[in-house]
Amino acid sequence: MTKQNQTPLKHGPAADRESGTSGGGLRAATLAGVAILIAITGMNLYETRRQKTALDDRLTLLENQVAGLGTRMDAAAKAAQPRPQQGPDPNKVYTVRAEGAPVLGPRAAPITIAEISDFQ
Amino acid sequence: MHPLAMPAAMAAVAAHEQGKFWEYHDKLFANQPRFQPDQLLQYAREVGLDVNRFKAALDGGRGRPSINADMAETNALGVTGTPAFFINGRFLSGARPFNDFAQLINAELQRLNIPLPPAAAAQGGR
Repeated sequence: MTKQNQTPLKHGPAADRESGTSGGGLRAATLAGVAILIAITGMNLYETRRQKTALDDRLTLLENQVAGLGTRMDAAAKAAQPRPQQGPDPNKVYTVRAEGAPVLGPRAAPITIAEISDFQ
Repeated sequence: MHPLAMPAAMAAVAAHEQGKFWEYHDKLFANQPRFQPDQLLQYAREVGLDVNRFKAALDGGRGRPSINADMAETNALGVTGTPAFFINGRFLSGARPFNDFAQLINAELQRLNIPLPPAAAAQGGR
């Protein structure tokens, strides 16, 4: 007697279920895999765009800060410029009003030293 | 101005009124910063002032006009710190070594064709 080396064709829901492990199942798995890949890609894209936006925001913030720093540095440089010397000009000859002031020595002396001072 | 400087200045002017400014001035510098009213009075006694007249001058604020005039003059000259000196009108700031004064004085003497003191002449009139 010869063995029937054929897989009997099956019909009905059971047949369909069983045949899903081969043709239909593969298709479903492929579809699922592709769907997952699309989802992952979509997520990456979304994440990338979100990160880019965040970076752009930070970049803008940094640019503003640098601009602000630049302004402050300019102002500081201007303020640090040497100001005109305080006090009387050593190259000028001043007239010091001295009437009524206490005097030491002869009033007609060739050299007069006027002292401006306080007691504290 | 330091808060104690005004009473001291008023007292000095009161002493000047009695012809003893320099004695009182020296007394003040020797006793800085003890310038309380009773201390200023004590110094007046010590330099031999008429104490009643001295007190009256202080109470009456007699020194104020001349002190105010001096402060106005100081501002007009542009002086911002003390002590400040003007040697024949030439400004010299701050407490400086003697040599800075000597140099300026000698320059003025030479300008006026006045012979330098022997010591200065020996130094080459620097």
